[in-house]
Formats: sequence, C-alpha cells, structure tokens
Amino acid sequence: MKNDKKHIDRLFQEGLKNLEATPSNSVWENVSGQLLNNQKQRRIIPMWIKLSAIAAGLLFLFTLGNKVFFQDNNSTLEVNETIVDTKFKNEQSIKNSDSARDPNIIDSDDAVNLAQEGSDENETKESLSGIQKNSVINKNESVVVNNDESTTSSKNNTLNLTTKKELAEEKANSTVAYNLNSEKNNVIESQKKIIQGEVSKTSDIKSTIAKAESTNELDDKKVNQIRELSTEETVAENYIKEREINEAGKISIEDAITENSKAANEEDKLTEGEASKRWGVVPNIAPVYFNSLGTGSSMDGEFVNNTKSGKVNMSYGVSASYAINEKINVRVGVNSVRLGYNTLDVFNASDMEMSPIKPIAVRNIEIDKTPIELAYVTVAGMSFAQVPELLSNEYNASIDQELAFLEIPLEIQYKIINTKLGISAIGGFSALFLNSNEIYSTLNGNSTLIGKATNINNLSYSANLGFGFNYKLSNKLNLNLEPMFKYQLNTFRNTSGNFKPYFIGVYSGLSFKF
Amino acid sequence: MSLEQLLEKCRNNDTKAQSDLYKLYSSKLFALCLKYSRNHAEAEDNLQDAFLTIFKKISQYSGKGSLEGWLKRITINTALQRYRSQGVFDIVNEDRIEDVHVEVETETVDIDFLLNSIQELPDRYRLVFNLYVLDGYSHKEISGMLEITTGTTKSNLARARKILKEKVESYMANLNSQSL
Repeated sequence: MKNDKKHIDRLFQEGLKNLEATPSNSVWENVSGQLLNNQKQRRIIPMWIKLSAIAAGLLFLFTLGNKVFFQDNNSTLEVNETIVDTKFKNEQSIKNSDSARDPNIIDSDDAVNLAQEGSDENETKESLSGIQKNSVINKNESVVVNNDESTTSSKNNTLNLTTKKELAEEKANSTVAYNLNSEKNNVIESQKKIIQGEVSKTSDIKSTIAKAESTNELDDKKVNQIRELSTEETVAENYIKEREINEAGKISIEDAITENSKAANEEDKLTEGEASKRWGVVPNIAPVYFNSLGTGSSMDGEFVNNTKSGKVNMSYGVSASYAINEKINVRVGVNSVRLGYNTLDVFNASDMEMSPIKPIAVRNIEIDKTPIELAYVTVAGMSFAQVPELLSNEYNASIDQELAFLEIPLEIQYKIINTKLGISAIGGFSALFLNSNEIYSTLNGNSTLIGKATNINNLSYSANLGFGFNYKLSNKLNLNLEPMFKYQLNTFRNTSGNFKPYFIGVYSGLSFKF
Repeated sequence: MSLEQLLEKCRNNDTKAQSDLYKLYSSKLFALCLKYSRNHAEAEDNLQDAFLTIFKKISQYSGKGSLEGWLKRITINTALQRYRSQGVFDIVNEDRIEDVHVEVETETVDIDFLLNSIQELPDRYRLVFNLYVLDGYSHKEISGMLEITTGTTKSNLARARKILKEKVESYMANLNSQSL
C-alpha cells in the first residue's frame, strides 16, 4: 500500500481527468426527435399557410362562380327542384308539382308531396330552392377545400354539379353528409312553414335566408373544427412516441393551425361581406400604336433604312383583377389586338416586260426574298389589271404588315395614390398568340394581300410597363385610363437591322368591383 | 470528412452530420454533465439540453478556439442554467469558512467513488468545486457565472473540499479495514 499525501483537488483532478461515459441511447433519440420536430415545425407552418391560402382562394373562386352562374341558372333554367327526404328523420318532403317539369324521384316511404297551388307559390319555392341550393353548394365548397380525403372530395365535386336528388343519394358515409342532411331538413321545414302558412312571402323568404345563412356559418365552423381535430390527430399520431418535449412543438403547431383557421374564417367572412370589393372586371378598349425602337426591318435587310410608319389599330378585351391588399392588384385578361406598320418607299424594280406573275407566286411570297422580287410580286399582286396606266408613272409602293394577336396580359398593379383619383404603376407581361398574319402591298390607296410573313412566332411575349389613372365613380365603379408600353420580346425571328418592336396602348375602361 | 465540413453540414441541419458530431463528443460531454449533476438521470437531461443548444447555436461557432472548449462551455452553461432556474444560486445565510487542511492520504481511488462524492455534494458546492478545481475557472469568473460574491465562492469551495476530504478519509478507512 502506497500512502501519499495528496491535495484533495489533485486527487479529483487526476481521478476524473479521463472520465468518459456513454449516455443511454434515449438521449440521442430525444435530441434527434426534437431537432426533427423543430425542422418540421419550420416546414409545417408555411405549408399550412400555403394550404389555407389555396383553400381561401378556392373558396373565393367557388363563391364567385356560385354567385355569377348559379343565381342566373335558378332564374333562367328550369332546374329540376327535387327534395328527397333522408333516413335521418321522418320529415315530410315537398315536391314541386309543376307539371311542366320532369317528374321527380323521391323516397317513396317517407315523402309526402304537397302540391302547390298558383304560380306565386311556385315562384316562392323556386327562389327558396335557389337559396337552399346555394347554401348547400357553399357548404360543399368549403368541404372540398377543407377535406383531404380524396374520396369525399371527389364526391363533393360531384355534389357541386348534381342536383339535390343526387345530393341526397350521396349522403351516406360522412359527417359532411350529415351536415348536408340536417341543413336540408332545416330548409325543408322552413319551406313547409311557408307553403302551408301561406303568409306574406317576402318576409318568410327573408327569414329563410337568414336561417340558411346561419346554418351555413355554423356548418363552416363545424368543418373548421373537424379540420382542426383531424390535423391534431395526425400531429398526435406522428409524435406520439416522442416525449414531453414534443408537446411544446405540438402546441405551437396547434396554435398555428388555430391561427390559420381563424384566418380562414376571416377569409370566409370577407367572402360574404367586404371581399366582394376585392374582385374587379374591367372591359377595356385601346388605340394601339405599333413601331420599332431601332432602325430595322422585320422583313428583309433591304428595307432596314426604309421609312416605316407605325399604324394605329385597336385592342379590346376584358381583364379580371384581384386585390391582394390595399396596394396591390393582380390581374389577368384577354385582349384582341391588331398591330401593323408600313414599310414605305418600296420601289417596283421589276421588268414590266417579263411574263405575268403566276398567282401562286403571289400567295406564297416569302419575306426573305429580295426586294426586287418582292416589288415585282407587289406590282403583280396589285391592281395591275385594274390600273395599268398608273404603273407607268407610279413605281412607289409600300408593304404593309398586319398582325393580329390574342393577348393574355398578366400584370401587377401597385397603387401609388389611392384616393378618388388614383394613380398606380403597372408591370407585367403578356403572352401573344398569333391569330392573323398578313402582308399587303399598297399603291395609290389600293391594298392587295400579297402573302404572309414566315418569321412570326405563334407564341411570343411582351414586357409591359405603364401607369394607371382611375377615377372612382362609385364604390363599385371605376373609370380607368392606362397608358401602357409593351415591348415585344420574341415576336419576330430573323429580323434585319435593329428591329425592336413595341406597341403603345392607351387603355380605357370601366372597372366593376364586386 | 474534416471537422469543418462536419460543422458546415451541421449548420445546414444535416441529420447524419448531427449524429456524427454527437457520437464524437457525447461521451466527453456526458462525463462533464455527470460531474455537474446530482445523478445519472439529471446528467442525461443536461446532456440532451446541451446538445439541443449546441445544434441550435452551431452557426455561432466561429472556429476560433477549440470546438471541444466551445462545446464544454455550452454544456456547463446548460447545467448552470438548470440550477439557476431552480434557485440554487440564491443567497443563503451561511457561515463562511476559511480553507481547511485538505491533504489526504490516498492510493488509487475508484473513479466511481470520486464521481459519486462530487454528485453527493450540495448543489452550489458541487458547482463551485467543479468550476474551480476541475475546469479551471477563477473565483472571479465563477462569481460572475453564479451571480454570487467571490467570498461566497471561496467559502463554498472550502466547504466542498472539507466534505470531500471526509468522504475520502472515510472511504480509505473502509478500504483499509477491508484489506486488513
């Protein structure tokens, strides 16, 4: 035994110097689980924001479509309004007995048909049915948006398109269907009251509307809750094996989901109320002037230095805009636009003694041919026979290019000043689909089609920049004036010189907000 | 793969790299946790928290100084943070003692005994002893870390030494009686 006197510090320093110990595997499992959880959280939240944005967008579109199309359908089309009772309650169902319509299929056990008397009742019922239908469809939309199950959503898609008869048949297997049914029963009841009571129709309609709306809201909430619950379940399933640390993560995800739901709810409210002002439809018309920025020719090198004169044509179309926020609008549209320019001072250098030009040569004129040939053709294609005497002293002609496009502009509008008289900056691009391509020769005011250009792309693009001035006529109606500069990026191939085509349009229109 | 590459991957949340870094340093850092903690379970909790902090702050490691030193500081701070939140550093009235005669007669002492002795120390004594004796912090640094005066750290250290000396002596006596 060796007895050394040793300072206690040294004893521990030396004894524990090389201490190493292996922690249990659970430590790393927890650490990695937590790290993964953190990363997922980072990913999940934006994912949910995206999803809710998509959901809100779809909701908007469906609501819009519903508003625009279905209301019209109700008033114009003879929709087969069948109400089928469900197996949930032994409610009486009502059948529209209008003989002009198709016979309706109903649940034979429970249904009692109440024949309606007089056209007033029919109208009432029609409008009521319209309301009911709209609310049912509204619910389907929110379900389509919220429900991830492909089976249900496909069903609901069908629901959107089918009549109520089919709605009832689809009821079977989900809470969603239950909601539909219960709501239907509500509406049936209210309808019954109205028809049986034969009281003042308008007030009843109002109350039914109110009822339908409140049911709608309730169901929206339900659907949101269902969505929340199912999300929680998924989250819980994913992390059920992880320990308490994960709770924090779960909670924050739940928070995020709740927030998103709130946001979605707010969006829903917007859909019904204010958001109606977010959409706009703008029919517009504009004189457009086409020319090239540089000296060049789209046709041939021979014409590079010729005088060109841009033509003023018309563009007209319609665009739909959506206000992302107070400042920014996004819009997409369809415009028909004609563009053209004249290449002046094209001389007829052809030998008048040569044999007459074959018609086929006129039709297939190639842009790349020499000006001599072109002029030759030009003269032949012109009213040679009609005005031969002019040709002796008029050798001057112009080549006129006429193009027409279907323009799909996609633009962002940023409001600089947003008062009664607003000013905004506009930027974006257009896709230009060629739909007409003609070249004329003009001499003494007579134009003759001599062919088409072979160097125009069927699809090209333009970069758009401009300013917008709008005057608020009312909350829903704006008067717009938008000078736009559109620089064409790849409309022409194989151009000569410095040919940089553009067009300027001053678009005026009325924008209807809803 | 160099350490720098490993760190770079850790910065990009590469799971494999994180696992590799853990494998490289977990046993050393766990030893550190064992010394600063009351028991094995608490040491594991500390290690877990320390690694979470390490991966969270790995982008802040500039490459100056040794990585091991940086990792150890985070681990120690994590442990201290735990006790700080438990109120271990709160001032308690206790008589200060001067340093005592702490030389002991020893032979080779079992490492587990040493570790247990430290773990059994009252929290603040354990922390001060660890910081001063085993990890080389000065009283001034320790007083800053624990938010107590240097007088208190010195007194705590003296008490820790006294307790440890008694433990070692008792251990040696026990050992001698067994060998007789």
